Amino acid sequence: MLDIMSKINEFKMSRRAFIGWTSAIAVTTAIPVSRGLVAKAENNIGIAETDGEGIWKTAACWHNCGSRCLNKVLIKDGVVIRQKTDDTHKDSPDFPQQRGCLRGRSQRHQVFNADRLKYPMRRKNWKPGGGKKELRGRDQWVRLSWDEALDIVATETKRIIGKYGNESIMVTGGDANIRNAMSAIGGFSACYGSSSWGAWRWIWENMGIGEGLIVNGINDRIDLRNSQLIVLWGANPAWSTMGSVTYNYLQAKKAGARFITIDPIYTDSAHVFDADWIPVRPGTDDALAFGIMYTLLDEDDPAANPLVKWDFLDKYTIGFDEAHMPEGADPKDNLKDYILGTYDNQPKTPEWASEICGVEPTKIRELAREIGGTERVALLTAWAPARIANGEGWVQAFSALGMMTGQMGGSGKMTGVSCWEYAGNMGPFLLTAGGKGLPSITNPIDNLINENEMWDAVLNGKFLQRYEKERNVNIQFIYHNYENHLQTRSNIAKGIKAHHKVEFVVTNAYALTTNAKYSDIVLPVATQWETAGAVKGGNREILINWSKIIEPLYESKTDQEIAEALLKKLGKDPKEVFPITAEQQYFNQLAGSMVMKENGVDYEPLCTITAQDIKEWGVEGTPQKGRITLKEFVDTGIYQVPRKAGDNFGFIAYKDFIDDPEANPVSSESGKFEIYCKAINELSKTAYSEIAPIPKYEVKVHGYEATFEDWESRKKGKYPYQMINPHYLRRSHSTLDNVPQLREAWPNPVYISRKDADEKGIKDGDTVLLSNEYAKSLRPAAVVETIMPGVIGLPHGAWVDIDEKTGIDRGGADNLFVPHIPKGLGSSGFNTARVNFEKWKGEPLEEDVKWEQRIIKF
Amino acid sequence: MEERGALSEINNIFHARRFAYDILRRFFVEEPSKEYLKPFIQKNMIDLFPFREDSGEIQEGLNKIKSYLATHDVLTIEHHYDDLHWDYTRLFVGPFELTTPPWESSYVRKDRLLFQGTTMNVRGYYDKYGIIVSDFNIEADDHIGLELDFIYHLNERCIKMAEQNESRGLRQLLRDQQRFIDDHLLKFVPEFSRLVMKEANTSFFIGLAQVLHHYLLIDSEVLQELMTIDNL
Repeated sequence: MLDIMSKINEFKMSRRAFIGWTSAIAVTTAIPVSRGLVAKAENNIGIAETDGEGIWKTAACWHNCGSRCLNKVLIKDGVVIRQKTDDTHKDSPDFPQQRGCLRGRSQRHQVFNADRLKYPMRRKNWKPGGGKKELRGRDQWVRLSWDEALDIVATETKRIIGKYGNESIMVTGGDANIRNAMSAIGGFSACYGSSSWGAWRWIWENMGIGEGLIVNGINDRIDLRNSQLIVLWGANPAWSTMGSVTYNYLQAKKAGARFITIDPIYTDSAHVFDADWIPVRPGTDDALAFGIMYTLLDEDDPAANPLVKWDFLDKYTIGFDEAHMPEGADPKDNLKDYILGTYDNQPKTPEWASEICGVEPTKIRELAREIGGTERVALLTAWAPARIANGEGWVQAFSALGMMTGQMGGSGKMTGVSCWEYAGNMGPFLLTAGGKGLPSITNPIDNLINENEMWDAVLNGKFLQRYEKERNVNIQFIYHNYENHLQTRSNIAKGIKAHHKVEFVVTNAYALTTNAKYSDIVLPVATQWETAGAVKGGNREILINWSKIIEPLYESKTDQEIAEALLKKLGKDPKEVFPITAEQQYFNQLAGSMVMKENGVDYEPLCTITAQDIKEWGVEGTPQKGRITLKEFVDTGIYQVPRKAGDNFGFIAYKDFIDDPEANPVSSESGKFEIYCKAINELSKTAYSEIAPIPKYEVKVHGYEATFEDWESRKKGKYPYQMINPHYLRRSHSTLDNVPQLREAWPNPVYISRKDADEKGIKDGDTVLLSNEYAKSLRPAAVVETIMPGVIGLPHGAWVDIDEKTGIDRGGADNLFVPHIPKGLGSSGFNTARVNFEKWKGEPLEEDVKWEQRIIKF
Repeated sequence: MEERGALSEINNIFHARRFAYDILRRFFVEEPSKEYLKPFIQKNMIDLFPFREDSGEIQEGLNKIKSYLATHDVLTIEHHYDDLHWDYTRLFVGPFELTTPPWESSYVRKDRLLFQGTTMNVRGYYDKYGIIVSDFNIEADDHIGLELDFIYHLNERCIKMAEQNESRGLRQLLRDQQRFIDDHLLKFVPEFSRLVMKEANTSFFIGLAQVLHHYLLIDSEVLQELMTIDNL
């Protein structure tokens, strides 16, 4: 037997042999071998599994769930056999792993789901011009070749442009591929909306604050540990921001912070943080804020009980009181006098607020004392309370409360939006992704249709071109390029009507989504596991890059391939729109990725790229020096900057401005925080309804007051309950809702308070019928103590499933009930809907997981 | 510190293997090139071949190669080089009947067919490590030169890991090499080498075949022993 230890020792002692081998190899390495083994192109990425079962690669987890985590898949023989999440380093509070959630871990069940759209298909009764259009949504389907399908799309596109002009094409969805292709052939009518932001979407810049994604309004997570009180106002990270956010908040909890949640629901976050729960009615958070502000003014004593930070207001804001009004403004139109009711004779007392928001006056006063009397408060809101109609006043009021209490620009002090993967952790990105390098193609048509009006625009032929005037439009072709607008925008029922009206509907999708179901032509899209790869940012400390996992399944093509093929059919050179390959785009993103240096100011390239790398990738590029090798970044799939207290990566929002307001003005016209914001008021005059320059309480379309037939006598109306649609962990918006194991884990009930359920004789698990003037829907009831009486929680995003005979939806699609009445600057009112509910007398609903999957039969 | 020392010392073994497998893969995957023969001869690489002290057979094979090179000046005398080159061609390429086919399939399969299960099984190993034959489906994956190249490649990974002091996954890498040697190379190399030693015109290839067979035997043992080291 060979004695390996003595052999090792022998080699160690006799350096001569070692030197001989290495110097010989140094010479011979350069001599080529004409044949041999080479790295497999598509497999040249990833890390071999320890047990040798295959290769781990980082796979796309691409959804807009509000998080970004590391998703890894084990590939063996070209097949994905397992998934895991971040184990690239040990987990610690300062350097947390980026762990995925149940949805990301179910991604294999989505990509390889039997319900993937496999072939291009056409509705059976489709004819040029539409055929039997009313059958959209319930017609049979016919399989097409790609050539036939693209011929139909190209021919109809040309016919419709010829007859009605390019304006008659409406493209929905944020992906650039079809949008760019359509722009290149003359353009299309586009849509826009406030989506997740709600009323934060268009007013923050004028106010001089951040909206939580584009501009940072709160401090970083290490500084969050310095807050003594954390108020989560309409924020539920445990449901809405999977990944490391809840963990970050827990560190603040461990450091001693107290938590308060203000929410119609006692959330899982409230439970985890052991928070005091203040139940509040949906869409009335502004009233509560005014009640708090009134108390602050009422009880403030600069010497004995300083609750209002007058110095802060004087130095950094305009519009709080008569003495600090901008030039030209009516001095009476200041916030302080509005709160005190000086001129409108309605002091915004806790009693006044309580009538509207449902929080006891004593509780409101308590809350005011807590917020005003604590040195370092994190006043954090997510977008949900602003995802209402007439929501701008809430955004203004919330911000004013932070300014009044001086909870901005200091350590442990912050007021602002805290959501998405940036929740509780803002500041400049420590890592940034490079651009793809595709040219931007301008859409020659400038029609911008507000999503609240999109279906009305189709049906009635007109819409408001915001900040201009009403325009006529004749939409005859809806191209759903991406996303799921028919499902995720307000008033699905009207959307379906609109889909029955137009001459042509096309959808690119990978499953039979609501968009696809109501289309004439569906084109099967490859998922992000089947495309070249991309670099994606997440929270500020990470940069993820995912690579191609498998070839496009069935006959699916990538979004770019579809757009290119369509351009060709339309007689355009695809190279004009897509001059570079998908691989080159991925490479450009990698090459352009930057990482912040230790000094916390400068950036350096993340990847070292050699001439050999460029050759192997088969792309154009220039070698560069970076922090890690390209191969390491691609194999690992993530780079994360470790954090620790006292490093150079800390962030205090607005600190520059607070330190020197003259030198570092904020984004508003005056350069100060504008409690009085003339610009918003001006903008609103050519939008949907006037917004006051200062925060003012406004009755909301389909808000709490609208649940009464007569508000004065408090006589309840036909739809006496308020409905909200919390984000739900079965899916990300509507994506992933078709995955059976997620359906099993999260059954998607409607949440009803014990009190309301008892009154209607409804028990947990009973099927209930929800209804309002727009729709009817069935759901099993979850009777709980954790939702405020009077409020119904219908989880967001369930796929609508209308029984054609009764017109009743059995899926529980939230947007059936959401009104589509634009107000203010046009934000969507997802969380202000009103309904009634009753026990369902028909056949009880079967659990969703037992339903037949939506698979095209042909 | 203990572990670090051990891994860097084990790396000496990997360097020895790199040296050995580089010679073997080059001489078995293609006709000997002057470009490679030059440093091979001038740097006396044959005298550096590892584990020669542990196997009389290896030493014997090396001596045969050495004596061939001592009597044939392949670097300067053209027909000496041509003879050596021809020996490879007639042994492993053709066009005459191949009495010493270089493919595993020719030895382990009754039907002796290429591109069947045996080739695919070998391909599976390559695939697992994201490696593919440069002449995919033109040259069968179970060619002796390619199988040696595979071990060479995996050993390169061992060196890289040792240099980065990364022991995670190293044991698996060693196990896979040993399995491949036992289940594939050593399944046909004894017979292959016997035939080459019988059929070759030059003592160069006779010696090389002998070295090949006995080095693989030793290396299998080396891998076996390495896996018994605790901290790996």
